[in-house]
Amino acid sequence: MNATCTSFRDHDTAARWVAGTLPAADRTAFEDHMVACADCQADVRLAVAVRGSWRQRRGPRWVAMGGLLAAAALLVVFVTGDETGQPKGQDSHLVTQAKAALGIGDTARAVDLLRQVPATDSLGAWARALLDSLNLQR
Amino acid sequence: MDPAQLETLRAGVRLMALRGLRDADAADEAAQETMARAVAAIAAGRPDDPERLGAFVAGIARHVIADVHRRSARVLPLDAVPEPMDAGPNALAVIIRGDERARVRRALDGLAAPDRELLRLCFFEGLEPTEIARRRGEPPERIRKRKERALARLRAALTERHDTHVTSTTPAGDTTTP
Repeated sequence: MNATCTSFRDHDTAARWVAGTLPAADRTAFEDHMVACADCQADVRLAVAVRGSWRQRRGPRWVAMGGLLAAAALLVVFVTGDETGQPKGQDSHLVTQAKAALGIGDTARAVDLLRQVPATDSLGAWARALLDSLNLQR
Repeated sequence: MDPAQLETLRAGVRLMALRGLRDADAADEAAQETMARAVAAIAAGRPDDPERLGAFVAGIARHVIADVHRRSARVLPLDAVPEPMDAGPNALAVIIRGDERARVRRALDGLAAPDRELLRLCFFEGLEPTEIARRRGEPPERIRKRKERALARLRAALTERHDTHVTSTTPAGDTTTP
C-alpha cells in the first residue's frame, strides 16, 4: 500500500465510489489508480460486501415497511371496493402496489391472506399480525 | 510492453464496468472490449509514459462504458455518465461470494452499536470522517481510528480463508470502542 492508497483510504474513497457519492474528478482519479492497485480493489470488495451485508441486516425492516404499505393500500382498496368485494377501477394501482409489497402476484390470494388476519383495535397491531401471517407462509 | 502486465488490469476494469453498466454480462463484454482497444493502442505506441498505463486503460474503460450507454440510446457526454448506484441491489454484488458476505455480516454483528453506526455513515451516507466527526462532536482522528479498527475486523472476515479458524480464536469481547 502506497501513499496514494492511504490517502484514498483516509477519505473512504472506495466506499464512496461504490456508494456513488464521489465527485466526478475524484471518481476519475480513484479509477485511474484502482485499476492497477490490488489494495484499492480489495477496499472496493470490502465496501461491496459491507453494503450487501447491511442490506441483509435491513431486510426485516424493509419487509415490515412493505407490509405496512400493503396493509394501508389494501385497507383503502377494501374501504372503497364495491359490494362484491372487488376493488374499484381507480384503485387498481393500489392493488398492484399491495401485491408487490406482499410479494403475491394473485389478487385473490392477497385478499384471502388479508381476510385471514384477525381484526384488531389499531392499524399497527393489524399490520403486525399481517406481517406474522406473511412470515408464517414463507 | 508485456501483455501479462495489461492483463493484471482486467479485474479493475471489470469493477468499473460492473459499476457503470449494472450487468455482469455487459461488464464482461466491456472489459474485453477495453482490453482489445488497449492492445491496439499499445501497438500504436501509447501511452507515452508506461507508468501511466493504469490511468490510460481506465480512460479507455470509461469510453467503452459511455459507448454502451450511447448504444442504449442514452446519448451522454463522457463526463455526464450517470452515477449508477442507488439503494437497490447492484451488479457489483457478483464480486462477493455468499460465504464472504456471511462472514462480513457476522463480523458486522460483532461490532459495538456505535461502530456499526459509524460504518453506516461511511458506507451508506458516503460521509467522510471529518463530516462524521463534525456531526458527532468528536475529534476527526478518534473517528478515523475507530473506523479503521472496525474495518480491520471486517477486512479480516472478508479475506479469511476456509482452512483457517480466525473467528474461533478471536476474543469474543469487542475491541472497537475507544
